Amino acid sequence: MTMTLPERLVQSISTRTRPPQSVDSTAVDRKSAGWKSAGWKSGSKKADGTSRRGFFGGAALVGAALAVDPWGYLVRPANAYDSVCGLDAGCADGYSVFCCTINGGRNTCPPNSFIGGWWKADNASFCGGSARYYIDCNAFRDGAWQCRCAEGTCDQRRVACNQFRYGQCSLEIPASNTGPVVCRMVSCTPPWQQFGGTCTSSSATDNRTVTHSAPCLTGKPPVGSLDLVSATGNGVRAAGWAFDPDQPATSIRVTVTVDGKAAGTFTTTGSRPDVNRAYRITGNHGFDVTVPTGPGRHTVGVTAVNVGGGAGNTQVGSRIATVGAQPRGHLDALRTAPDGKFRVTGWAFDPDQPATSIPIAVRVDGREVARFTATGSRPDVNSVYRITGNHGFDNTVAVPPGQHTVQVYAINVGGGSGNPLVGQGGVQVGVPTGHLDGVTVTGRSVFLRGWAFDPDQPAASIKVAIYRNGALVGWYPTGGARPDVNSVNRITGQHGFSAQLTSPPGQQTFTVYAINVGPASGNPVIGSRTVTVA
Amino acid sequence: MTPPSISGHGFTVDLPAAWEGRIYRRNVPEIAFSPDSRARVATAEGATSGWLGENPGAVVHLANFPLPVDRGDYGSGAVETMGPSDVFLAILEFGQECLGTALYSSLGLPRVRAERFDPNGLQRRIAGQAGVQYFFTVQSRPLCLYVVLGSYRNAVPLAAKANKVLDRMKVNAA
Repeated sequence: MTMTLPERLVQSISTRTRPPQSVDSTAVDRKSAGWKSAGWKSGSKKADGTSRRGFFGGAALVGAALAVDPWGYLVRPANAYDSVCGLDAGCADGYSVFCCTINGGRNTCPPNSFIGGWWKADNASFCGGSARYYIDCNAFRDGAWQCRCAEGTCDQRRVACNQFRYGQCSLEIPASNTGPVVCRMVSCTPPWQQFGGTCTSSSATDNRTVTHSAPCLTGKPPVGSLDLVSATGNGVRAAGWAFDPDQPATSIRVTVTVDGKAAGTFTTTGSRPDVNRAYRITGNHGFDVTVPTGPGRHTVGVTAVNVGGGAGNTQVGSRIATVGAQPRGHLDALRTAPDGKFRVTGWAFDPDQPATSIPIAVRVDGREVARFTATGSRPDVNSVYRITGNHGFDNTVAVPPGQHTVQVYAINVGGGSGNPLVGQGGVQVGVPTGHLDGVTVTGRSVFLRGWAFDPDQPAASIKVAIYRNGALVGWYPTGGARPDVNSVNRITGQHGFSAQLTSPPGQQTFTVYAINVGPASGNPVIGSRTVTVA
Repeated sequence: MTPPSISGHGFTVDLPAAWEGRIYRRNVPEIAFSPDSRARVATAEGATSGWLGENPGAVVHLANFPLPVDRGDYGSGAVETMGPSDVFLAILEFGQECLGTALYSSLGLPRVRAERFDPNGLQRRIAGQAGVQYFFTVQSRPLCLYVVLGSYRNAVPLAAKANKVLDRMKVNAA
């Protein structure tokens, strides 16, 4: 029985058994590239003296080929390396090389390059059927990289040739300073997590690259997750998990970097039963470490160190943390309240731990009298600062009757020193408040108007006492509607007053007192005017 | 006769004769990238096309040759079938987090210039072809225009074809 191959596959095979297509001078400088002839690929000794056996790497490579692309390896009349490297592995095929091929086995951007963008190929066997991510490392336009073909393995794809950018990473680098793609990294972790702060989650898909690979990508690199980065004191805490599928029971090492510089290497000795259960593995694979930093904004990365095969180490995550940031907040309102209290309203959070509700301290007349936690919902604050959690406060504080100076502080819970003042003001507690709005004179008639209420009984009408030149004229009720007063003070009731008096001629001073109806604390003056009566 | 028009996801194009186009947006993944979900995928108990948090934007493909069904967002699968008189355009939309960044600082839908096309200006180099990219923002939408010419030698007339279809494109606010 003759097996008929799909036309597409036959064409692919046919292309691969031909000598490499020519590459014109605009694409690759053949001299600098060390371009290999088809004869080398068919088995002769390489021009640089490397034996073909050394190039193949023995039976293990065949095993790798079978694992990576068993159907392709079995049906194509090509060597094992062809299957290891997947489709379109020649320079003339036009794709960019894998970074580990040209970067000492490291699946990272080489020097003088930056992460320019990424794409994904769905249903990738390399990632267990999930999406596989390709992250381009672009050159700058500084001439540091020259276009050439990779050599030494079957991954002979182009190095620093394709002037192309996917466009989701390093957005601060403009197109005018973007050079060609030096090489591409590969990962099973979404780039917006692995390179958080550098890459966005805007996606692009190209499934034609799903088989692309390189010998340095065989085996399995570590997998893991950076679950948490937060500022603590004068450092950052990084927590997560990592293990190497090649040795799944072994605790491996993770390296923490701060702003690209190594800050410490740790072993994953923490228990993570959730990870073990999910992957059906044993051992300890968690880490929860703190490294010192200076104050300021830092990019914190964690790399898992490979202990088996695979393309070097895996950066399991990267986050931005601000160390030593002081809390932010605002005192929205300070008002008198019933029962000898005042009410303080506002919000505060600490950027070091932006999801945590932080304590608020209230000082009255220079002495701390209350401390509570800002646990109220403030979606407006969360929206503006792009944070989560509860950060509002709306509390009452009991103080002795009288006039007080109030200061509200947000208490630092992360790095940094000091607890910033988020607001201050004056408040009268336990005594009535009010205002003499105006005094008008018509002949011997004097008309006084204003408002007053007692916060101990804010809905109740009270009385005002009017004195002329220090002598009591009379008490008058506050029964007039003053919606403006109610609105500002968030109270109900009738709190306006008006009084018409008959006065002797001459210069007269009228003083108005609000009469207390709550706990004894005096009757404050709410206004005084001097007028001339004809 | 009114030229055929396609529209979707805030893009409208009146296609010149013999052109065709597609406007689409890929599905938004719904599975979170967690130890459990990753392990399920790794053990073939499940499969995903991307992970929760991915933000696929609108994609426009325009060509004066038949577009195959399976295409990458930047036109892989289509550009391999191009002849010397063919032109392919892709416009990709990116997330709002790109607004105001240096890469997307140019404003307005660009027109291509023949002298900017480069045989190396391709996602994947294909002998004889040339390409160019522009990153820009229109209607507060960060976009990338990628144009592939079937023949570098015919860059001048083919660039004019590309501009003709760009003249017929309208980008609305998202």
